[in-house]
Amino acid sequence: MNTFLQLLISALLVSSLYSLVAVGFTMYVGVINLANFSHGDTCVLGTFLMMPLFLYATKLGWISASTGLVILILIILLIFLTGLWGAAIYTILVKPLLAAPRLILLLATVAAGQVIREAIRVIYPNGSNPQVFPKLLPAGSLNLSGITLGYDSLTIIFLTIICILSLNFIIQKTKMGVAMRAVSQNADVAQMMGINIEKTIISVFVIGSALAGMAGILNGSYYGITKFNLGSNLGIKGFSAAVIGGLGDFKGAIVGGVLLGFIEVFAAAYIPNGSQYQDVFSFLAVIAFLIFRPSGILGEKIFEKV
Amino acid sequence: METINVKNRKTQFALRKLVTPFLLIIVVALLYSIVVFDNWLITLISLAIGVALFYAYAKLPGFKTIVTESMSKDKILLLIVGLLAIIAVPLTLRTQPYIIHILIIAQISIILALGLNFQVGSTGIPNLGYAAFYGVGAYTSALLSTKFGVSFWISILLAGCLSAIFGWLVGLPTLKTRSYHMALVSIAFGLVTYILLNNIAFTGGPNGIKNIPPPELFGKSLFSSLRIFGNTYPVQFNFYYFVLVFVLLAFVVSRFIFNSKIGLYFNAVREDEIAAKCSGINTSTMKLLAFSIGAFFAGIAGSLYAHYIGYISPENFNMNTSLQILGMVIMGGMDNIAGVGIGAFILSVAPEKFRSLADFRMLATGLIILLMLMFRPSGIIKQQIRKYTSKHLMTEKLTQGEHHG
Amino acid sequence: MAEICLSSKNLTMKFGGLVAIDNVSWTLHQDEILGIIGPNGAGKTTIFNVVSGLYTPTSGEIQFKGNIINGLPPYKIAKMGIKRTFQQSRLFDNISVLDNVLVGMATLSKGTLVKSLIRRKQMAKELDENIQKSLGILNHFSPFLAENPYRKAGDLVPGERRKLEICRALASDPDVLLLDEPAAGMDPNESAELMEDILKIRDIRKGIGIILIEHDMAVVQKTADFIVVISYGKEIARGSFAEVSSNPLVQEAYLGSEKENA
Repeated sequence: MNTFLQLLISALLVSSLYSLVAVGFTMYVGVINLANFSHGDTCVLGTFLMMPLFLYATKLGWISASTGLVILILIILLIFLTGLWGAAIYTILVKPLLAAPRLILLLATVAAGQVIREAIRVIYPNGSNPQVFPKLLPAGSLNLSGITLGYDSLTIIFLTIICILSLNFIIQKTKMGVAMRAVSQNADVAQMMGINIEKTIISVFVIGSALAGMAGILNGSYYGITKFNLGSNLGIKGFSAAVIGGLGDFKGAIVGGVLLGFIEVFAAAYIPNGSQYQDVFSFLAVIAFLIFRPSGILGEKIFEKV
Repeated sequence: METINVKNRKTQFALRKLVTPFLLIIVVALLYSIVVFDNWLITLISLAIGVALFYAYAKLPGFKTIVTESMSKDKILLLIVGLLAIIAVPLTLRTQPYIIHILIIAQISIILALGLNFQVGSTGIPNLGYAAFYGVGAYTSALLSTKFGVSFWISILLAGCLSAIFGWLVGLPTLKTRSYHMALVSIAFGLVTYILLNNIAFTGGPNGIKNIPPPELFGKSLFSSLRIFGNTYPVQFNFYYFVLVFVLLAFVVSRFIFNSKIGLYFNAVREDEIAAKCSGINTSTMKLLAFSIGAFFAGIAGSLYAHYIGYISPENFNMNTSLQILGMVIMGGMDNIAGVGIGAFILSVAPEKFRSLADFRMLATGLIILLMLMFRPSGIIKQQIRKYTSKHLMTEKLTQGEHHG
Repeated sequence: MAEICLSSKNLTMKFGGLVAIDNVSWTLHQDEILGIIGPNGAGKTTIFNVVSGLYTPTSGEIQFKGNIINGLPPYKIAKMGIKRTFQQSRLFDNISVLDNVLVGMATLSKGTLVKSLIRRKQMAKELDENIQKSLGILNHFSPFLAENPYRKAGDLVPGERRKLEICRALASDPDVLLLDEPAAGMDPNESAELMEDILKIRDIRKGIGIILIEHDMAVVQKTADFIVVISYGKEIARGSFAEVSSNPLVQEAYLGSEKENA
């Protein structure tokens, strides 16, 4: 029973990580109907931006002093940086291609992801190898009747919930959120109503990339390592989660993330030799969903005019 | 005054006649220097000249008309010369087997790119896991020959067919969904195939399969060196011509399909799936067909690769391979057979020439794809308008309008 | 009285909680032009989408030549003889004018791939006939198109695009043609030409039944034999143009929506 509960915690943790990536991914799909295949690589970019920041902060001696606060500042700085990156990607890559057939833009994001990946590998010292990622999360654990609840796991789950709730707040209650919802339903009408489409789309990229940065560093902090090519895998899992849950809606992304996390953790634990084939189970799940229920568990929320 | 005009016309006429041979010489010289010299500087300069010529073609309408005119007039001459050049090249490379090897890899890449073109170029399906079909073909052929002693000719046929079936299966989940679902499924299939190949003992795991026997032609193995006129030719020589036959077949089949109803309906599905459906096209069947045919090509290419190199491992069929083949199609020209061939040639030969910069190969591929998509998404050579030979189309007005095609 | 070729009975289409079409019934006879009019967002295009098979109706049925066709996939319905145009012309932009019309003939039967290899001569003859027919249809509506068969469809001006879309739809000799707001964005000269084109359709295909969705009342008045008015998914009136235009309910539906938009 203890093992089961322990696995449950693990599953919740993995689910949080995947959900965060999926939610970021859903932003692009929901608002501008774009599958951004560079999302996962942006997560990894976040980790590779964070490491120099952390090293620098350590050099300046800030880390040992009031570590918690400094780490928080670093995280905020990183999110800011990845947000900026998102705006840059939009301006350089996406904006010129918005009028082109969607296939071109999709392939462009695939290529962009590859460029990010390879640029990291080539530019970062010793980039081809896995890098040690600093432990940003609180160490230690809680022991509850035989189950170990790591503080890092709890922090991740907590932070993920905070992120998703904040995002929900932005979408539901702020002016920009309303604009996003309007554009996602009908961009032409939204524009006629006075909504600045460009500003809205830039916001999507900024928020999406910031979420990616966050997801990346949480992922890196938990596993303690990062590598240039983790992005493609992470991005695919995030996309898969969003599809399984129901594309276009955050609830779908969360449901999908949870399902994917649970499948991976429990399959690895209970199927012999399972951990080797961990990824296969997730991908087979996606393929199965795409065959039998392509609109996902909660159903798609994409508007396409005929 | 009049005599000067006539002279101008005569010189103009003479000059026009020289354009084709002139172009031919330049192109052949460029290609030869890119292929043969193992100096990255020469390769770079040749590529630069090539790009400059291409730029002139695209941006200077005067240049463009001269080139297109001479090319359409002397089509047959160009084809014959081209074919002769392709056949003659290895004869000059007797002492440089590595260069012939590069050309063989280029040939296999051309077959792969032509196959992917059916899916991405003709039908508009974003397949990001094409290497899976390539791998299935290679492993099928390798396993059949090494573990079951099946002859090459049966192996390659079965490899193609099994890949085609696999292609059909991969296509099934995508029929009711949108293009990005297709991209996702293709990546998923690609990754699943890679992981399975890497972990299953039967396929040799990460060590792959070794000692794959070469094909046998008329009882003689292709690994036996030829002696012609007292000269010994390297083994690559045999394989070059062997694979060349398959490449030519691939071109012929691709062209046939392009010009047929099937090619037309592929394009309709790509351009507007809803309009295609409402015009009476069963778009599901078309997509599955694109998958199967494309996968078949990959299967054949896989088998050729396996029996040529003699050793395969999962690393030959990973995501990077898929992206590289995708790059060839995008760079060369979506649904332009000649363009795709050129793209495949450049993207398989150039990395060899820039071997000192090998580390940047994948980065360069990504950047090339990105730049092409941003600035010239239709590729080096755009898709050509289908022309038909019909008496109903042969009116004076039309032949005038043709030059805008 | 001419034969009924297409009809809908108690047709209802719901998207989740939204009722797009509410219990709508109409009949289309051979050689008749049925006009469907109504304020924006009334559900008119949705009717077309259901008829052409893009949506499956929530309830009710659509009958074509005695067969129930709701639930069939779009390509089958097209093959049976129902073709349509779209509000924003959906052409195959990157291929030629001629290719667009040839696609409209989509008669790819199961054995065609093999047939193309074996019966080369027969296929070539068929292709030749198809080209001749295509050029004929193009010429009927636009000599410009017939003289420029190799022009890319994407390079055409909007007027020619509309014509090409109609030609493509007529290429397979359909029994029913659904025209979705063909006059949208046209000035009076262009719409006058369009009216002629709509009437010309009957020359190409005798006995064809046409359903026309339109906002331009001049076009409707000149071409439609019978009109059904839809508002908020429900039918609110039917009859001749005179009857319908003087119907106070219809006037209110149009004026009412004008008030909202003001």
